[in-house]
Amino acid sequence: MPNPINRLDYAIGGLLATLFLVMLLLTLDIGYSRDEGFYFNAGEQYSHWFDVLAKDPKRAFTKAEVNKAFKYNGEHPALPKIMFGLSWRLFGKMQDPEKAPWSKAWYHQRAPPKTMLGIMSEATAMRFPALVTNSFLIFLLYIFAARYTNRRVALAATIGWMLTPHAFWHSHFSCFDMPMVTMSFATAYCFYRSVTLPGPEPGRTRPRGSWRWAILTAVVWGLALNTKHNAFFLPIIFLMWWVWHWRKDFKFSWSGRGLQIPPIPLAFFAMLFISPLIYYALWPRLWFDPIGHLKWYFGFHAKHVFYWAYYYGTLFTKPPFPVAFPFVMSAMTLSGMTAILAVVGLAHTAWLRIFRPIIAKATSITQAPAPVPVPDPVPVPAPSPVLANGILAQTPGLTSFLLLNFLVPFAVIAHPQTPIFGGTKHWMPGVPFLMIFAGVAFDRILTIATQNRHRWSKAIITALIALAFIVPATRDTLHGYTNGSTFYNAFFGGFGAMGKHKMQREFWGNTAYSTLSWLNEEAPPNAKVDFHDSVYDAIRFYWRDGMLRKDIKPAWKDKNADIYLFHWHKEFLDLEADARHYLDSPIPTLVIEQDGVPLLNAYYKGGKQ
Amino acid sequence: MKKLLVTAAWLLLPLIAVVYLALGIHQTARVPDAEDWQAAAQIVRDGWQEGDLVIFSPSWASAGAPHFQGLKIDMAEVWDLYEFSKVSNLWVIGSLGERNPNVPAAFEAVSSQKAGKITVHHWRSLEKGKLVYSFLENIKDAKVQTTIKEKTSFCTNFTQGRWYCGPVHDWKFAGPIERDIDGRMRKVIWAHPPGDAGILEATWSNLPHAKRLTVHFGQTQRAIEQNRGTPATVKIWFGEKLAMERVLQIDDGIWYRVDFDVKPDDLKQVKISVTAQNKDMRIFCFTADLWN
Repeated sequence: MPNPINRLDYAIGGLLATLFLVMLLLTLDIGYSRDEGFYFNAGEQYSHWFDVLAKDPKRAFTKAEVNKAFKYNGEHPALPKIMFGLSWRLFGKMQDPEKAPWSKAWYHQRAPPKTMLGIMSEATAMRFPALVTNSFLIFLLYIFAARYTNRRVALAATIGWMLTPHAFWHSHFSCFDMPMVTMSFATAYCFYRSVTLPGPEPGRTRPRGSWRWAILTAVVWGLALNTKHNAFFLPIIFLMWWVWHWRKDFKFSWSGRGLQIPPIPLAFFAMLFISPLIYYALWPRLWFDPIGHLKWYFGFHAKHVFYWAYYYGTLFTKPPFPVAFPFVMSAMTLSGMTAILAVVGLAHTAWLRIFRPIIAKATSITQAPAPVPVPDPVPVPAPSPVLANGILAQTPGLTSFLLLNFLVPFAVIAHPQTPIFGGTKHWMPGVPFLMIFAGVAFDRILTIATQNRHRWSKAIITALIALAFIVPATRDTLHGYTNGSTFYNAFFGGFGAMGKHKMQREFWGNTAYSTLSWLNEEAPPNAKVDFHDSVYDAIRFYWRDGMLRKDIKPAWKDKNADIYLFHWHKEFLDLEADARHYLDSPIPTLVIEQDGVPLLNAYYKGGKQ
Repeated sequence: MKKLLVTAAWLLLPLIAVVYLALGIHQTARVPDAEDWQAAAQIVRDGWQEGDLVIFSPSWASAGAPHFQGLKIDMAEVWDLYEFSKVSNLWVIGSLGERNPNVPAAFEAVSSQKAGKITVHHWRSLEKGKLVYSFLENIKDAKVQTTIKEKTSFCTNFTQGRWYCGPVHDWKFAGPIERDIDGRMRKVIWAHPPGDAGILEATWSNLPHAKRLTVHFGQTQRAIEQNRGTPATVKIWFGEKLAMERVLQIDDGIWYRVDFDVKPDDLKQVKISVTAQNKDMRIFCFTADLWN
């Protein structure tokens, strides 16, 4: 059964979450990615609806006003962008159009809003809601693991997630992927709580809190749906788990009572009725044409364009994509020791829950019963179920719940017809659950290593094993975090794997950030700079936050550009060659590299040294 | 004994961690810094001759490229030993895990010098002087024409080293370009079929005496990804004699090499033509070289 959680656990979870938030805030020197640029723009546009709401609430709810404010980026729910926009308005330090009249052009409808608190740069203010949401996941992960396993598993799982280089990098952005991981995990947490409450008290038909947790599951799932479409997979996972866990209670007889099913979790009913209301209420694009917009929305994602993925020397542009992709990429991009622990944890669980029972069953069938009479029984204490079947066995259904929540996001991307662009972020909702398996391995190793040891040697061994896991993961996460999406672990060659194994390097046009100081110093006055894979909405924020000279003019596919920033993508190599030709610059003037692997080549017209 | 085994088992974890950490630190520590690159570039400049080429080992480790401004460098993702054999000297900038690459058969090692975390190797081509004529370098000597629906047009607009069949156009030309073909950026002659069932022909006449003609041809990576158009037919003619005909399927991404032993009569006129029933994305490219 679940462990009781006390104040110490909440304190540890809160402390880890705060630590993670501080880590994120101290490592914000990460360029604005393509998608983030679009969401900056959306956040800004959406925020203006609240101005209308404040001035004229009646007008704010008209179809024309709603469609005007929320038209942009309708392919994703509005909630995260509303949060980004509101945070930007509240915390962001805006340009003053009186002091800097040119800055008007950098804002939606040439109208910079007035600074309110002005305690953050505009981009950081946009990112802040995601930073907080992603830090909240740390708290949730710790509490979940502590409740259903133990503190050691919880600590290892949480630290493992905090020090996952790609997740850490993605956690900085005002995007949806990492908030989706949080919402996914939160929904799973609430659902699992709703179905693992202690039995009902005498005189009650349901355990205390049943409805509370069921409703909470529905509310959180509603918010998850409003975060990203991955949330639609969650009830499928829960349904699969319910069928599997209660499989013995499904009965059917032709003559008797027909189909008998186990009790249906209340959360399913709540999710059916409450979540759609929340989904509808928080996505203004649904207010006036819910069916029409959802039809378009699902059509958009069902026929999503296939971007490119460079994987072991093959540029995948269309299906079928390799089934192993999410598994191999995870093995390569988790910190090495974390990956080992995760594999050991999975193997250990598989042994305890699958292979050992099979072997035991097979042995009991083939072996004849012992003919020798058993002597008088000696009282031997029965092994605790925790030791016998592993820590996960202490809560019924936990193993299958964790496995499904880990595997389904991976399986969705492993399907050969699913687009695989974007590196590792699309199956990230499964990784916190994988981290719990890593935590299980850590706990098991620690148990074995400290058995029958003195207090001091126990402490030393614990520290040694903890450091063996934490130190490499910390280095992996913090070394080169600016280019964190290009991380591959040392077992595969480190960042050098990008070149050595011909893997994807840059993903989202964010490396232009590392050229800004060079551009500010070296670009000629009024230089036209082709930013290649960076989008205009990212450039606007570089201007607004004072990181880019205001006279530098962004240009794309301009044969007359003065400078070309080539973000190294296999699929764009022809563009680089064309730029070399048009700029008459055969050799880059600047290369942004990570551990010796070029990520961006900057060409200067005429080949300036 | 059991306790010893248990200790050995759990000690494996810190042991692997130490190895992993050391591996990661080593992978970072071996990366050359600006001073190393500057020193390596200086070694190359000191021995540089016209016609030399700088390459990197491993091929992708070209982060120091800016230090070689003014020299000729190859930054492609993989080596192309055929192209390298055309130059007199190769300067191989070895770093990271491949500081001392093996010398390919067509080269001999002249020297190796260390520059911090870089080793600069000087290799001399054994094929030196055997290249007689490059069709790509002498594109201006070509006569280019297109035939669409039996109407032949001569491409007479020679701009920026390319033959345009009319005004300057993004893809209607024959001339040098760099394109991603069969795993590497290659400098090639672009020869996109001009229209549906149209024929593009490039002809070189009165070529110098040589023993061998080597033709490389294929379609660009971007072309084969598109799954559009129809197969392209390539023909090579020596005067009126058809020397080779090959059909390239729309997903054929191989960079083919064909060698011809040539007689003086063959070199009076060499023509390469390409056509496709549907020209969409049939981005055909080739190179040709005469060797002694």
